[in-house]
Amino acid sequence: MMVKKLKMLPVLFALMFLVMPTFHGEEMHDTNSSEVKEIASKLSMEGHSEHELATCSTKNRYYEEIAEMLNEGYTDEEVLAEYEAMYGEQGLRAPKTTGFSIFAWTIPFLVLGVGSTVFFMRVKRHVIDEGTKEENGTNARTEESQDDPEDEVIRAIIEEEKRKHF
Amino acid sequence: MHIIGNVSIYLAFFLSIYAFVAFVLGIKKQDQRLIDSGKGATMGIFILASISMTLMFYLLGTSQLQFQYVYQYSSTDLPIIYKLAALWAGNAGSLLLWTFFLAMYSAMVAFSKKMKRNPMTPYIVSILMLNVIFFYLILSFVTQPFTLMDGVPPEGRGLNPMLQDPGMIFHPVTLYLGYVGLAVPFAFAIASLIVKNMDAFWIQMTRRWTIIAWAFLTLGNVIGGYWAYMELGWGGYWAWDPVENASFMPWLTVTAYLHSVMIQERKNMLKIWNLSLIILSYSLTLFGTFLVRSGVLTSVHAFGETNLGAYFLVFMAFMVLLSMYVLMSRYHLIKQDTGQFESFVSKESSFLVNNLIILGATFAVFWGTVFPLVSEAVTGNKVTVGVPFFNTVMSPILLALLFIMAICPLIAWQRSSLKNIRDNFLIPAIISLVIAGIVVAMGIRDAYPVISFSIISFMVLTHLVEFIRGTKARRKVTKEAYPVALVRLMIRSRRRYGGYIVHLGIALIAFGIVGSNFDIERMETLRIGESMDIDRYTLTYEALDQRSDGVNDVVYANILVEKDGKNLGYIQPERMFYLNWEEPSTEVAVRSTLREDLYVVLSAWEEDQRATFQVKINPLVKWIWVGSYVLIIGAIFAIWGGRYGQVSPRYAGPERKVH
Repeated sequence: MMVKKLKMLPVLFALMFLVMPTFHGEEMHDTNSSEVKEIASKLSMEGHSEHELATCSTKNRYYEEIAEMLNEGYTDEEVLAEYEAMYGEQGLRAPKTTGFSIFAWTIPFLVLGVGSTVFFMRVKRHVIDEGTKEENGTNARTEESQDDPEDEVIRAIIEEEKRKHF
Repeated sequence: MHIIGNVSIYLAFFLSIYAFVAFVLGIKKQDQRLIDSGKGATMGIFILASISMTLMFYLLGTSQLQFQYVYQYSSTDLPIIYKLAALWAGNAGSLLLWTFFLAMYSAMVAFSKKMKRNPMTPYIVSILMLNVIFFYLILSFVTQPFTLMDGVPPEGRGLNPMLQDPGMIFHPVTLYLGYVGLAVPFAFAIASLIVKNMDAFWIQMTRRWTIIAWAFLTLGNVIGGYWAYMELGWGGYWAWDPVENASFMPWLTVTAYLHSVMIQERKNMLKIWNLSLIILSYSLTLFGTFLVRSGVLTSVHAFGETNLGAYFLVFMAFMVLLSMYVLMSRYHLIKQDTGQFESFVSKESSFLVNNLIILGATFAVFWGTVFPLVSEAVTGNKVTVGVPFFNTVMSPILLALLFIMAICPLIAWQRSSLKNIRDNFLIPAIISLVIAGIVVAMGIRDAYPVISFSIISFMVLTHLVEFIRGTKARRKVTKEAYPVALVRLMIRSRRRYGGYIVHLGIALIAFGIVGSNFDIERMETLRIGESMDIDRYTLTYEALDQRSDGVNDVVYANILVEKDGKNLGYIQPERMFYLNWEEPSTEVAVRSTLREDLYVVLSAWEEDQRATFQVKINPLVKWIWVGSYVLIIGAIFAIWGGRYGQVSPRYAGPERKVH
């Protein structure tokens, strides 16, 4: 049994060699690798991020560096951290979500939220006023919508006739 | 000739000051002769601006290199069309174009038949004159277009090859027509405040002006987007570049304004809001110019670092303060007779929500654009605010806007009943959910595209429902055939249905934008005869060759394109080498269909003719351009041949004898 296993060893080794390059090949990154593109999309690349890879040597250099780092075993976060260490926050293509930069992300929604609240309060006040008037019978009117298309068409035709004749 | 040029500038500068003074004195003394003199001066300025423009075209067209501007932006070998387009390639020339449009609009308002005998005219033209004075001040003393060189250089520096594109002919002109066009409703608004005209007169009178300005702004942005898509290094059709944002912000605020004015006209509401929106839109055009010409922010589209930005900043501050002062001083009058909201669910409130979201979007773009400056000022740290930021922040806001656009047309004025909502929205909502399911079944799992496609379809369907409802209602009353009823319905309510066509255009643009995010990209080096596969395409590199294009040399690759084994013919990506420009330019080969664009770039080549290509598949991009056409058609339909009649304003102020 043991001899049989030993006999199998060269075969197993051969298999391993055959399989190894395949595994190795799957892990290799180049400029076409989606992981490289994903990381590159988060870097400002010294102002070259909007340039075309085909014609921008700086962008090309970044892609190659990222591919190299990934092939050396760096994780995505480590690659980004490496560039951040080199260029500071400016090295990234968007502000971070910590420190003062958090305001970049939050202020637009805060402003929108405040605007919505003011709008809601204002409409609510008037709607309640109107509701009170209706309850008191001072402003009674039907619930029917004012946008009946037939009414509108008739109004438009009457308007047109008025223009024609007067 | 430089004397004629300079005299036309200086004379127009003094004439603009004279016109302003004549209008102000004429209004103060109620002297019609002074007003007429001011109007004459306004026409004189337009004539002088036309002379300056014609002269500059002549100098560029005939390569008069003794002029500094011609030397800097032109060369003798440039095709004539680009020689002429060089007029707006630099600061001085582009400001001359701006001033020409401003002078033209001022003369059009001063001598408008509709404004004849209208006491607001002197006020409006004097406000426009303030703008003209500022621009002529810049042209006279800061950046002069007709400066002579010490000698005559043998050749000019030429026009940047990136600018040698049809986009250069149309993009700046349309954008400037839009920018400058906004000065007119702004002048009407301020004049109406000064003369205490508190009704919707100024809005009705400037409706066409505003839609035309908006349409030109749209056209300018779209042409710019197409140009940037085809030009390498500009980041595609939209890169959230500070200069792109600068033209997007006034577009957004004018869009908000075009919606909210309908509420003022119909319900006499939102008067302060509308005035504020037009002031904001006008200020943003100046802010944009400040960004483009100051160099405070890095942009591939900017004119370069000059001191012009400071002048624009000061002028913008002056105009904003002036407007705010006038607005506040009339606040008590504006508040009178203002209509009120009657329900949360009504057309009025949905329009206001639409405005709120658009203003939120404008603020988000503004904040993202200036945040690098804010961050540096506060913390000393420089940050980059690029595409990922804007995409993350703007996507939910713009999706909410699309949703509001979808429900707005079908909500009733004053208040909507539950029945109204159910009848109008049930079927579109069900179909949209089915479409969302189909999108998921097609393998798209990300939330954003699924939600986006679903909202876009909901928007298209609610608009179709509105067309169907209207046609049916008209047919019921008039007994016309369906097509006749539809056409007459649209013609009778041009503004409304023109607006809906614009909405449909926006839906198509949104469809293209969402689709284009599913792009695929590969870069490969091939030997002659080798092929590469990308998606369903096979590209075979067959030859690398060279040809002459005038004085320039072009290197191009011949690539056979096959899709699913079917021969689609050849495409030729190329690189052009210029006699008078150091950097070569790269011309992209694009095979465009409604489904996707095949986008091929010739990156580099070796002596043995191996060549490197960048190939992209950009899905649905063509819908962006199709949607833009639809949008412009809608805008033209809305303003074409409508009956606006003679609108008579009401004034709360003293009687005015001059007009």
